[in-house]
Amino acid sequence: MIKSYTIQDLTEGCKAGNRKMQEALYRQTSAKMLALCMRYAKDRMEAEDVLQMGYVKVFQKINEYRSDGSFEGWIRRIMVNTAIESYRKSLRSLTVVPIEDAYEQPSTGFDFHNLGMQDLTRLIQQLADGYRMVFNMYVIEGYSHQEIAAQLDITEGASKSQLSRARAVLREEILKMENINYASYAG
Amino acid sequence: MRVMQDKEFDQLFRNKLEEAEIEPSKDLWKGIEARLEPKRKAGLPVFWMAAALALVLMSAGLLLKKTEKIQLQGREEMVEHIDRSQTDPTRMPVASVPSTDQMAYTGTPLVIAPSIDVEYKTVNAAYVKPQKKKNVVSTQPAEPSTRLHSIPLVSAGHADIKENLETAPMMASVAASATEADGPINDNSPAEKKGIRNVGDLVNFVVEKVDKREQKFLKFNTDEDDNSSLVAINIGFIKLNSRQHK
Repeated sequence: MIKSYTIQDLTEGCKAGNRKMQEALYRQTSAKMLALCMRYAKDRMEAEDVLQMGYVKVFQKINEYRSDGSFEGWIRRIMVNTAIESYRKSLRSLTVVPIEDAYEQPSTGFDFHNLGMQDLTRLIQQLADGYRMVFNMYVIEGYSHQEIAAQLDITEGASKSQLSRARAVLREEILKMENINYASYAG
Repeated sequence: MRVMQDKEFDQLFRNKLEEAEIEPSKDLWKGIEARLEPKRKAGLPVFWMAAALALVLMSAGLLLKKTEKIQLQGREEMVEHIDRSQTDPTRMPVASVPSTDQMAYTGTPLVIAPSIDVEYKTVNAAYVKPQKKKNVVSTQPAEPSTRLHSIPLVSAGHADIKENLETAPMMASVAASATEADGPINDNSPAEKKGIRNVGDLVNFVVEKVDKREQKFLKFNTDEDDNSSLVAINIGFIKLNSRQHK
């Protein structure tokens, strides 16, 4: 990735609607943003969909960006909001998640500290919809329960309880993976 | 593992995921570009649509103006029609009753054409009246209400006719002179007389509106078939006139 443009170049170019600058901004930030979208989405396809919609919004709303804040943080917020919209839509269509599909293959990591980013992302993806949203927003993005409650249209209590249940599920899954690894060692 | 506090647990996730990067598919940017494209071009169609709308309104205005003229001509047809009804005695009683009423209440030059009818009727009034009454009774026995209405109407009309006996012939002559007067007026504007049948007519019509000179800067001959042919150009120093037009 060639990072030859400064943030100022990029924001000014995008505000002017310069297609080259828009592409440069995309090239510089899209890998991080896709990693973010992957945590919120169920699979890569949904994640890339959210990513595309998110960037379209970024370019449409670029004039609302104030240069005093972090530009990347601003883009992240748009991505999270887009992911929440996508989540709300999927709620309406009431898709059933086959939870058991999740555990087919153990990851390369042997214990929690060795679990790779991809493994953790996959674990989060496998969480039930509500848990996944709350866990991502609170733990990774650092939103407060109040903000989460407002964005997801739930109570703060629900946000807190979903967070602790998400943690419990994740702990259990990590433990399972460690046991499988141990078993494969022993066997 | 089990004893790990929530904060520690969260921190481990955050460390691994906050700065994570996953390279998107190569063609993803094209999809974004495609979604941005229509927005950027949106300005142009609006302009062109406005321009097209203005053009349509302008041409519609011209055409509507034209339709009015055609309706004016339609009066000639009406005169013809009434003439026919005069020569056809079977149609006469029906046509004459409403016209006498109209005649009595309006009496303006606009009803000149119907008045021809009335004039004719006054001559025959004496024997047409009883005939008419008989007809109404015999042909419409199932509708007593209409009959009741029509009989007084007829007698009223009869009275009016008597009143107008003297004025009617005079008005008829006025009507005749009016139709005569129509001729020369229309000769000055052939396009109006014939209506717009082809492009040549349209051009002539527009040119006439713009150029009030006797020799227009552009004139098409539209008399033969639907093929317009340019017969005259007059742009100051360039003058073309294939034949001297009246």
